[in-house]
Amino acid sequence: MKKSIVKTAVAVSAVSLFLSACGGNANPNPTTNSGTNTSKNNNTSTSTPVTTQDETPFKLSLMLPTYNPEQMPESSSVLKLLEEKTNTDLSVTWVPSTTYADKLSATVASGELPQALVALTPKASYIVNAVRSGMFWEIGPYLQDYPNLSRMSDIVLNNISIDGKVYGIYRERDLARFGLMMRQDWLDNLQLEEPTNLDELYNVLKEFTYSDPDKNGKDDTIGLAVGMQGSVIAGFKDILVYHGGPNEWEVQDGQLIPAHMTDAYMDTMLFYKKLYDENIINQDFAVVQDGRAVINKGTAGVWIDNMVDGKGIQDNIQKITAEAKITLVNRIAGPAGDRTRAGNGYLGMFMIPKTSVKTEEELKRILTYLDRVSEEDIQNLMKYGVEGSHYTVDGGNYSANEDAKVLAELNDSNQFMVLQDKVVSYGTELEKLAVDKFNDNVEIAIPNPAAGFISETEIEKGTEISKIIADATVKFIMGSIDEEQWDKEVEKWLQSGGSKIMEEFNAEYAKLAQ
Amino acid sequence: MRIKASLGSKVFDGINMGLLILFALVTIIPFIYVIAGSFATQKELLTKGFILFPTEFSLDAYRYIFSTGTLMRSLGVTIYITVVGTLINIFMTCLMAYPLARRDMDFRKPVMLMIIFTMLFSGGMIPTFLVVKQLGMIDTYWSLLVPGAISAFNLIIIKNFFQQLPESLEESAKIDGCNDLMIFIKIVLPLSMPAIATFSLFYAVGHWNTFFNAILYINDNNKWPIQVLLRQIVILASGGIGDSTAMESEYVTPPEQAVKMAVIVMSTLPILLVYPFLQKHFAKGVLLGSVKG
Amino acid sequence: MANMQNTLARKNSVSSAGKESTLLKRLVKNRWLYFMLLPGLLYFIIFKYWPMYGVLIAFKDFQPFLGFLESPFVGLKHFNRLFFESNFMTLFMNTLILALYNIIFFFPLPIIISLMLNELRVEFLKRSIQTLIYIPHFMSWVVVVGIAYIFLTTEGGLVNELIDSLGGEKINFLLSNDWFRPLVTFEVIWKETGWGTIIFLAALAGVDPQLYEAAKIDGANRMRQIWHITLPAIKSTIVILLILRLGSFLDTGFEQIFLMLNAMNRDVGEVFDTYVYSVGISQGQYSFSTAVGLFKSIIGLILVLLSNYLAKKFGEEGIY
Repeated sequence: MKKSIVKTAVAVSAVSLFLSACGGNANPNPTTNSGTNTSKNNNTSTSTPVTTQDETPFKLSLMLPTYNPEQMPESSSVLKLLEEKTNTDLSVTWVPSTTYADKLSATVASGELPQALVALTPKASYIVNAVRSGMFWEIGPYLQDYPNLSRMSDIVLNNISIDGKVYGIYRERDLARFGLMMRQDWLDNLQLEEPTNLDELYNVLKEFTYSDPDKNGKDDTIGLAVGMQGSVIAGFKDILVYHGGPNEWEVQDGQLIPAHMTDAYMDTMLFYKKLYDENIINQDFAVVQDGRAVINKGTAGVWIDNMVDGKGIQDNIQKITAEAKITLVNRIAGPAGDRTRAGNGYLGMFMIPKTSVKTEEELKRILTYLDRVSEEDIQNLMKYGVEGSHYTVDGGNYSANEDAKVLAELNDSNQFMVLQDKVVSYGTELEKLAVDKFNDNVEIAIPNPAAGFISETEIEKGTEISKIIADATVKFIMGSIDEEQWDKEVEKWLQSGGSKIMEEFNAEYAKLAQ
Repeated sequence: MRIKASLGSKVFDGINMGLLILFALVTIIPFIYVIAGSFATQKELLTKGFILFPTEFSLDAYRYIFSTGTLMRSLGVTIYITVVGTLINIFMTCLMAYPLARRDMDFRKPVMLMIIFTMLFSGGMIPTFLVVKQLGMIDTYWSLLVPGAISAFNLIIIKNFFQQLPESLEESAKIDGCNDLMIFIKIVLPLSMPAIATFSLFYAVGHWNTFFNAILYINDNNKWPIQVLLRQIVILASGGIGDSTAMESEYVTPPEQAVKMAVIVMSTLPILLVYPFLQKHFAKGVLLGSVKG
Repeated sequence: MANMQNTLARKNSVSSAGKESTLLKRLVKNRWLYFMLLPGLLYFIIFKYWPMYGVLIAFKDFQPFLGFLESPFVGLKHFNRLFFESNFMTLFMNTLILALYNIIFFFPLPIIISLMLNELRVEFLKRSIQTLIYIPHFMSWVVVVGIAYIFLTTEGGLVNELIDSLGGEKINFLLSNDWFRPLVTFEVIWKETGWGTIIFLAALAGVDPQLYEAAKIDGANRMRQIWHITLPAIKSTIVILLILRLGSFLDTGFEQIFLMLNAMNRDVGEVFDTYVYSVGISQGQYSFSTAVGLFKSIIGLILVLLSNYLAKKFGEEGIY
């Protein structure tokens, strides 16, 4: 028996040596050699010396986060088309979103970086420090030379700037996507109108809880589904804004103050407390990790978050109640009228390291690629794929190809995108409604005035001490602390670094005002 | 002379069995829930929450998982690194444990101290990454097989097992003319099968669960083992908890709850099937007959 | 008897250098042992000691881009932050108490269960129970905490529904300071006890069944048999495991606690590992997390040295 074990071990070792010799060569630019030197590129940039009319495709290595269990295959026709249109030979290193920060840090430490990488959290300390040490190209001055890149929003560019300079190409996301997803069928059953202000909202929620909106004779419904997102209550920030509160920070008498120190914050907490005490929200909200599970059960009437979730929720509830319908409400007027919260407007940005991109020429070539990606045809390619293969449009009705293998070619395709403003809006009625609401939101969106500022204390301690406030908010709503104790918690936040953060932000703000 | 089991002994057996069965039930019930859930419809899982048997049977979750080649491919990768990895582990660990178990080896204590030190203090993720990189192992399977070759914890316990073997066995082998290596192979190893089986299992499970190292060291997603795939699904299906970038996360349709459960079944089952095969090595009285007087 | 004489003789030859064999002679005599030691030694040097400089990151402000040498040296700054700026005493007490709960309530259980399993006469039952009870070990904490939620929530959780139907008042298990520690410990017991029995069962496999026969003849009942035969057989394994456990005394396991934490139980739940996560990793601040890790390791080292010393005093073989 021993002999056979030894023999097996030798054999397996031999095989493994062989295998690793074959598959082991870390070739950063594998297979995809689209030797097709294409002429389809319409090079619209005029003043840049580097054109895309090169004979050989430009080799470009990217690091992108993946949000799917399965990654886009190298044979994906979408990928190949992208390479063709931009005249590049792309090699992508996919990194699961959940471990992105660690992988990025390790890659940065190793010094072997791709030519362009996505920095998901551009204000993270290691990115900021790397920028200050001169690791990345300052891209700001080059943007004007490109037709699409020059269209990028100044607000968002300001948001991503570090020390006043732009070091990356942000990846656009809708500026304001938050709103309420509401059971239309329940509104109909109770003959209620969509609420337009806070009082009406409270009323609707109450009716949803007590007036048996699903008409099943049982007292088993609640008005608002609530869950946690990290340590923050889902939907809270939106209700805060509806109450006239700020988006994270607010300018009062020329000074920046944080949201939790405003009157509107207390009003919002009292609002939630009322809902909690009257059983209008699920009593265990503080341990619910994903509030969507609550509304998906079919026993809750409203969910407040990114309205793009609406379709998914409707699909889920329809599995239980076929007549369920979700409608979207984005305007709830409060003491300051109609307001909504603006998000950052971006999700991560492409940054170009100097260690792997050594010449300005190469930099410009990469910018050309990113600019080309923002053209209308590629925007839609990455969003939907190729008409006829990945989807069909039949008289205005969009339907995606059901074949899993075909769909897999589009996995994480939106990670390549820069601008998204030319994307055609297909999709179901609900999805189209969502897009309308997003656009409507832009009119009433209020930004975070402190978004572009960097405070050292905030980077170092921000997350840590924000827990003090987040926890106190939950406790107040659940009734385990009162107003006096709340004030003490705010005091604690100030003592633990909060006041320093305020100081530093205000210093930056003062500089701007000059 | 056959001793009849006393009444007390029988009562003891009864209580013992009862308690153990109870314990087994408590541990197994949630897993039954997971198995049942993997065959259930989204509707049932949402409305009922906890079930032990699905009333509406559905294979959708499994279909979803198997619909792409990724699961099978990553399963292949995992099996490969588990088998080869465990062989390397056992070889390296036992080989080093034996000299340390011998009381007549001079540098025992300092070497042990050196090993214990590494158990408590470690250079950390980035320095280790840099070493692996400098050895040219990045993006190869070696990075998953070699850096974890010996676990100090396992080494110490295996050494302890070796130490419990009677020295007279080694004595007589020496008299017969065996050198230390032969003693190790011909006597110590066969008599330590329970320990070796145990630690093969431990190491194998460790390889099976390889997740973080794979992401760190392997850039080519075609080479990822199964836990990368599975964790993505579970975390996505749980609403993205554990995602440190969840502040403004990408919107993805969460897979159905049943998929989450099917994934767990798929990732657990293979390794569960291994244990019963190892159980025969836990037979009693392995030493019987080897010590003669 | 002969055994002991042999051992004594050997010990003498080792300790009396210069009398029988010099160091060089012994090295040659044991050359095979040293050859066998070599690969492992190389492994530890390359993969454990070569990166060991990383420990010093705790005394620097490590920037991945600058690398280890160029990153600024900051001395005890991170330790200051840990001891004085964080809620150090709370973190320490929380971690300590959880560790104690773990050692007192969890550690003995795999031993007890493996003893019980050892006593099972029905082979089939024994094997099946063995295979079943370690299944929870394979479930990730995400799933386990999810199941805990299903059982314990006040909104339709099974346990609370049961309490309610029996006329009692629902208990908010998940959102309470009081229940946090028992819950966490119970979850660990549920998940890891079965797995923990494997080592002991391996040790028990080496026990000579004839010893039991002899004991029965002498009139020993089951409990006494266990006490005098079974337990001593696994005694040294228990001691080793206990010492090793103390080495990681302040490690509570990040994932489980992190998933169980919420606003209502953070006061008793926040431990070093979760604190480091919220401050460190997500912001990429490796230095601080290394400093905290260093602190935990030093405590662990002290405990290992102490317990090893005590073990030897009681006549056991320590780990070195």
